[in-house]
Amino acid sequence: MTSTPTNPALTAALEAAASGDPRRYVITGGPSSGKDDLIAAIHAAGIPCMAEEPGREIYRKHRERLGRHLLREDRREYSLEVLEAFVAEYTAHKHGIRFYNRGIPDGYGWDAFFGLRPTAELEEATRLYRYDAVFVLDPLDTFEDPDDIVWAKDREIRRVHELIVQGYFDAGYQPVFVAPDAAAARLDFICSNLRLPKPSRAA
Amino acid sequence: MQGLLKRGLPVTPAGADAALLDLRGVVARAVDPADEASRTAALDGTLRGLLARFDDARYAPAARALFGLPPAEPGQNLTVRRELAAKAAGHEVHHFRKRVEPKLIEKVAWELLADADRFTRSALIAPRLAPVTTRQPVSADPFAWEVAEHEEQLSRLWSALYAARAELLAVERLISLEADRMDIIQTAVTAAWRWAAARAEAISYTTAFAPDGDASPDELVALAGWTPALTAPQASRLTEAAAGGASREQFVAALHGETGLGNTWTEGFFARPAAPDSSIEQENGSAS
Repeated sequence: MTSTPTNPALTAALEAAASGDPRRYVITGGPSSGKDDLIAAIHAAGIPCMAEEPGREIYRKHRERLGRHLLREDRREYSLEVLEAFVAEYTAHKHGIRFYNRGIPDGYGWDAFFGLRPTAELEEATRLYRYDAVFVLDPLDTFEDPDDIVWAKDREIRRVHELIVQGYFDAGYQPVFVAPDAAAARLDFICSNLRLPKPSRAA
Repeated sequence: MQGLLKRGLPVTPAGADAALLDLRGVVARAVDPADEASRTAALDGTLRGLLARFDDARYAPAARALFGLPPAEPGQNLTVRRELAAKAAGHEVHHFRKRVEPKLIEKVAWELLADADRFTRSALIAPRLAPVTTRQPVSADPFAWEVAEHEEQLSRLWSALYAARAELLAVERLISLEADRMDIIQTAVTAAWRWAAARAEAISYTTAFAPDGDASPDELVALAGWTPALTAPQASRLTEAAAGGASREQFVAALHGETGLGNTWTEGFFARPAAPDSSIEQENGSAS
């Protein structure tokens, strides 16, 4: 976990925003994009943030119940359950700043990865529940080895990443791309973008 | 690219060249690949993503402006966008248009092709392997779990296909060597077991991961090699007997008494090969 010194100016800014309108910021990206490290850095900086994306626990439960990997016909049910969890997270937040570990439009990427069309529920939720900013973490790896052999797993992970990005464009967002870097530097970049004091700049 | 540049972003159906809409990266991102409007939206998203990540720090704002992203605005004509781009890059506008702009367009075009290359997939090509020197952990992410699972299943599929191929080759080699008939029959039974296991694996894989038919189970299993012609019920019977990781003994026991099926398989190998001009369909029979 990345430890970031608490910046009093940031703490003050968060407190000032706490009683105001809700401001919701999404952190997203494909696997291996450094999302977990960044989320940890957000927590360490004292910024309100979702802990673990709900999809993980729901995925584990579905696997456990089915006793096998998810087939196409299982995915609808899974996607809707994940969507429900994201909507619950969204609506539970009433005031101040909050970061989200993935957002509702991630569902577009998920559906596309499995060749499914987005559900009407996802379209509706995307229209109703809008985030204030979306930050896409670009992958930390180049996914290429010196012999130009790309592992199928890595190639697919890159594909997931691009489908997630496309999902946000489809949902009408203009995501901000966060270049590969250390988690603290990425968080500084995000805070600058939101006109918040940089966490690493402790007074 | 010129049509796209002339109109700028957002991409409209009138500004989207068919070649760009057919890029694999665009088709793969489209909500409905068969719908041109959907592919147009995907092309727009692809370009915005590429331009947002344009890796040349000096010319990134110029490239974005040239295509109509900030500092330019949607709806501005190319002359205005070009002026803004030249200013962002610190060039006089004529110099920019003649010397810099073509290179920027070429780079964007190259990025689009590189993006399309990343979406190259073919279910009919075995994954290429390379020596692994470091551990390859799977990140705790449902997408990563699914992707890793997919690669697991793909590896199982191809291992089964190659195992079947090895046994089918062994049968033909023994026939060519005029080996003992019983040895040939024994190897042919092993080949049937491996072939049926590969077909079971192909069905499992395509059901879970390729439901829209990149390749059918029988197209996949045909890659293992030639087999005697089987009817659909015969192919299904063999597949059932080998499913679930059955051993060769279990496979043989499950088919005990299926003399007709056994004869079709083994005698098919002993039959004189058909003339070279026979069609593949006739030779391979209707395994489906």
